[in-house]
Amino acid sequence: MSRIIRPIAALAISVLVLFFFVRPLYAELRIVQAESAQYGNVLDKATEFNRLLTSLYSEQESFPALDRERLDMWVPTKIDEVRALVDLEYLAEQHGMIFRDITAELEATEVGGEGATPQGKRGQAGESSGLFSGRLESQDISFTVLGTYEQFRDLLYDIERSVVLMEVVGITFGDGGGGELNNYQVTVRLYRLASVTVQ
Amino acid sequence: MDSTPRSSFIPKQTVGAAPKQIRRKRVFSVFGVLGIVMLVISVIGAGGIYALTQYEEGKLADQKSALATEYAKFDESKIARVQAVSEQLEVAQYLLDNHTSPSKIFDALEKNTKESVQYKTFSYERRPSGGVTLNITGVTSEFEKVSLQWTQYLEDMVLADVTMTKIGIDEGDATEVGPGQQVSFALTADIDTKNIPYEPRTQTEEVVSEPEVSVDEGVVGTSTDQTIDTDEEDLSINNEEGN
Repeated sequence: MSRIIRPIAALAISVLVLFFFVRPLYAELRIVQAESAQYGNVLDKATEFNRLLTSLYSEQESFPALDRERLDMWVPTKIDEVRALVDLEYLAEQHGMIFRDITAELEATEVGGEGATPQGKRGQAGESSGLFSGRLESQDISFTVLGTYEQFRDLLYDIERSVVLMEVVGITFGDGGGGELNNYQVTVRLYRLASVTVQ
Repeated sequence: MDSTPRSSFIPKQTVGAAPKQIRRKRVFSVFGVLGIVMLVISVIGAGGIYALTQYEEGKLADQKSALATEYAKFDESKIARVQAVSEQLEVAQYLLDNHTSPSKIFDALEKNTKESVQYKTFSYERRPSGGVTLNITGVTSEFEKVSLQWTQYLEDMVLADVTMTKIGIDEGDATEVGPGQQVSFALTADIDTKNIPYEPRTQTEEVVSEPEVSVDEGVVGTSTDQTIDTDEEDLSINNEEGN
């Protein structure tokens, strides 16, 4: 009799173990494995992010102070129109020109709109860039300088290569009635990056 | 009746002799073996799964701990600084790429203007959509020279898109240029900013470029006459064809 009962009991225990212990434990294992895979992935990304952050930070910290200063001047966080006017007047005086008739926009306007040029590639977009929409602002300053054509050429060249970016967006002049001196009306555009808060 | 008397009650047996082997009959049932095998497998499987689950849970706990450590390493100020400088560099590159040099237009005009042409007004305007609009008016002594001047512009990369918008005689309604009268013209051009990029010059280049400019001006002055001769022939052919 026991010969029959024992195998049946063994099979019954096996089935019970499989269904009531192994099966739920296996389901739990799958869940834990999936979660572990996700955590592993996030952990890899976090490690990579930290590595990249450290690398970038070190790289930026290694910039020479002069380069940093020039970068801050090229893309400032604030447009100093008074300083720009002083610089322009100084440049005009250096070339023997008379600086006058100044008109400056009171507020900076947002640079953006159609024709964005991604990654700052020179192209059709020119001033517009949806890429920096809301971040890049510009302010125009117009002025007149009185002098000769040669003096104006030299002044223009100096403005173009100014450390503080002054984009010449308008030039108007006539022949000056045949005289050597002439009035040159110039509009320059200054830029600032609105959202940058470098500490 | 047994005649042989029994000397002892103890059965006589040789000392050290092996007892008779007792043979038990064992019955192997397939059903029984299967049951045992299944039981063993299920117990081993349960143990294995339990151990694996414990291992995975331990691994997950380690990962959570490591992730917390990595998060703790995040320096908000460092992130903000890197982000700010990165953005600044990106914008700087964009502005540098789109920085133009209007003086190149004056270079082009100086190199390509005939001696007999005099400019009256000049207007340079950067369009909001990009590109530059150039408006120039001028005077010269003859119609042919206006045409020659236009042809000269077309040879220059910067001024290649110049369009003559107006040609007329400066005074009165005369159709021919009389004494004291001049031919006036107006031209406009949409210049691509790619053609007037800002290119920083080094000190060496600046020193070298000075004599080159003066030499070029001399060459332009000399070659202008030759060009006029050749172009006048072309122009006359065109006029004949036009007639």
